[in-house]
Amino acid sequence: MNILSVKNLHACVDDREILRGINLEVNAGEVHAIMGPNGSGKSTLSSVIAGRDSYRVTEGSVTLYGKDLLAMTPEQRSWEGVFLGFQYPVEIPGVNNVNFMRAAVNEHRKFKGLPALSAGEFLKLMKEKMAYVEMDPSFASRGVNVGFSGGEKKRNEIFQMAMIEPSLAILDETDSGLDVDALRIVASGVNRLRTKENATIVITHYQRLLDYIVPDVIHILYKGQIILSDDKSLALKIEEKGYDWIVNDLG
Amino acid sequence: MTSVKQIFFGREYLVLTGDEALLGRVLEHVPASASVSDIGDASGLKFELSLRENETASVTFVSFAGSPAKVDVRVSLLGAGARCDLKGLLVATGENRVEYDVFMDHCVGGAVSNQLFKGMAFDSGVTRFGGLIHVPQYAQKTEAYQANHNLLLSRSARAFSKPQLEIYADDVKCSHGATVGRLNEDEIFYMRSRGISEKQAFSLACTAFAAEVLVSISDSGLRDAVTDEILHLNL
Repeated sequence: MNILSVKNLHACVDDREILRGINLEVNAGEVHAIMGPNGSGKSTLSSVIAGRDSYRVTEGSVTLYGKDLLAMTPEQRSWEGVFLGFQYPVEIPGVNNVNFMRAAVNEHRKFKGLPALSAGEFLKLMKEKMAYVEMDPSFASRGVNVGFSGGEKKRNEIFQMAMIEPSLAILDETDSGLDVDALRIVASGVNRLRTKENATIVITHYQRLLDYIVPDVIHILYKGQIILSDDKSLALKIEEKGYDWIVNDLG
Repeated sequence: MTSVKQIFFGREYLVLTGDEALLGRVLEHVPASASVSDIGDASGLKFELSLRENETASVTFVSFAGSPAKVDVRVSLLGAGARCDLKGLLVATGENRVEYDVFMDHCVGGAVSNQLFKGMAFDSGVTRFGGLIHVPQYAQKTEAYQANHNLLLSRSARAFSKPQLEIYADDVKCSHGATVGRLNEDEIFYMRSRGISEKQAFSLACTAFAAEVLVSISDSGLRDAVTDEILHLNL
C-alpha cells in the first residue's frame, strides 16, 4: 500500500530553488534512506513534507494515502500520520514534557474520535514508552528539551514518536551528534516501532546508522534531485568513496 | 467592573485583578490559612507596602484578561535586611489597557528588591510598565533589580516599558532590563508538528511565558488555578 507519493516536487526558500523535481514513492513496511552532501536539500524535503511555511512549493505534489498533504496545516499532517524527527529539536522552556505530550496525544485521539486519556492512563503510557529509549522518568517533569544533551534530545524525538505512533516517520539526521551508545538506543527505539503498516524515511550522512536501521532502498539527493536509488550496499560505497564518483559517473 | 482581591498568607501577597466570575473561580482554591480582602477598584488601585529591618515580603500581581487595570505600587524599604520580591503578570486583551507604575524606594541601605513584570498583549490591548527605583546617596549596599518582558500576540498589540533608576549611592548592585517580542516561531511549529493545534500551541506558549511569574505563588492549588485561567484564555 502506498503511503507517500512525491511527484516532481520543486520548492524554494526566498528566491533560491532548493528542490528541483523530487520523485519518491514510499510504501507500507518500507525503510528508505536519503543520503547526500550538505546543501543537497535533505532538510528542505523533510521541512516541506512537515509543513514548515518558510519553504514555498512552486511545482509538483505530495500525497499521503492519496490525500493532498500540501493543503494541510502542520497539525493536520501530524494527525494524518506524518512525524518529523527534527535535526535540531526545539527547546520549549516553561512547557513540560508531560503537558506537551498529553496535548499532542489527546489531539490525535480527538481526531480519531477517541476520548482523551485520563491523567493516570496517560502517565502509564508515558512510562511504558519512555522505556523504549531508556529515558529517565525524571525527564517527564522538565521543560521540553530544556537542558537535554544532544543525545537526550534525539532520544526524546523517538520517545515522542513512540507516543504518537505515526504512519510515516521522517528522521532528519537523527544520528548527528550521537555517540555509539545513544545511536544504539535511538536505532533500537525506531526498529521497535516499525510495523508492516508504517514506513520510515531516514535522512543521514553516515552509513553507521544504516547498520542498525537497515534500509530497503537508499536514495542519493544531490543539488535538489534524487540522482540515484539503489539497495543498502550503496551506503558502504559512499562510506568508501564519498559522493563524487556518483556525480562523475552520471555526468 | 474590575475587581481586586488581595490574598495574604503571612509574608506572601497575591493581588488579582479581573472580572468577578474569574476571580470567583480562582478564590475557590485559596487555602484556609490565607485571608482574602477586597482592596479597591482596579481602575485606580494603590498598593502600598513598608518593610522594616529584616522584614521580607513577596507580592505577585496578576491582572487577568478582559479587564483594564491601573495599578500604583509603592514599596518603602525602611530598614537594613529588608527584602521585597515583586512579580507581575499583565494580560491585556480587546482594547484594554493594563498599566502598572511601581515605585521601589530604598529609603535606607542594606535592603534588597527584585522585580519581574511580564506583559502579554493580545488584540489591540496595551500593557504599560513604569518602574522607578530610587536609591538615595546614603543607601549604600543596596541591591535592586528590575526586569520587564513583554509579549505581543497580534499586530495591533502594544507594550510600553519605562525602567527608571535614580541611583545616588555608589556602593550598590542595580540592574534593569526590558524586552518586547513575539512568540518563538520554532516553538510553535514544533508543537504543531506533533499535532497540537495552532490555538493550543499559542496557549501553551503563553502559559510558558507566564510560568516565570506564576511560580512564585507558593500554594500549588492556587497556582494551578491561576495557570488554568491563563491556559484557557479565550482568544
